[in-house]
Amino acid sequence: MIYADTSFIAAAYGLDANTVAARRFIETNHPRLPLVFLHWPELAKSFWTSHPENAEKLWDWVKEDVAGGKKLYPLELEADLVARRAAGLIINFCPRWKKLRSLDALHVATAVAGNFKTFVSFDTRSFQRVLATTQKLKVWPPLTTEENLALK
Amino acid sequence: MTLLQTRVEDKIARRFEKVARKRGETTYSFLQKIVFAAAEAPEPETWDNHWEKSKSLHLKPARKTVAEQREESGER
Repeated sequence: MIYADTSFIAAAYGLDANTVAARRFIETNHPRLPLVFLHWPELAKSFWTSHPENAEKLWDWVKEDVAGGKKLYPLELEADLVARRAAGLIINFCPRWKKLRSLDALHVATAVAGNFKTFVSFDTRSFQRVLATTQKLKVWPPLTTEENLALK
Repeated sequence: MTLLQTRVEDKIARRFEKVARKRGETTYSFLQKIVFAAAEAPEPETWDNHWEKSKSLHLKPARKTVAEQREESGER
């Protein structure tokens, strides 16, 4: 079971520096990816700022694919449960990583709450992927040297 | 050809009749409409034709990735 954060889904539907890597992953794994409440606002921001001329088409495409259920599917999780789990992660890891963002913790908490095994994200600039590793999630792409250092 | 002869719970059947009436349909015409719509519904897309569709949109490469946008906006 694979959880992809918004950086991956935006790269798969839009066109950015990670699109080639996203395509490679999709062609290898044929994932069926969950969309949760966290994805929608971030996807909207990505589409309307990066591809304003095609934003509505991309938005409708994602909605159709969620309804179709073959590529994406709606995953309804109890937001309060996810938020509490994220708070627990913040309490445990914020003293160590001062720049750990709530959003990072929310995505990781979602993956944990949904019993996912693999966490896919291109956000190597935050602590999201490092945090996912601490929760025994398999992270793809593999952690960078800097991220591995943050784990020590 | 008769396609559907399905037994359903009384409660479901009554609700279906009620909804059909509300829409100005008979039970039979409403059921037919639903069957037509289902038969014409396109197959959900798979990843197989995803990239062709993406190419047809002629997207311009985004200047920033989601990670960069998150960082730039200082999202906490």
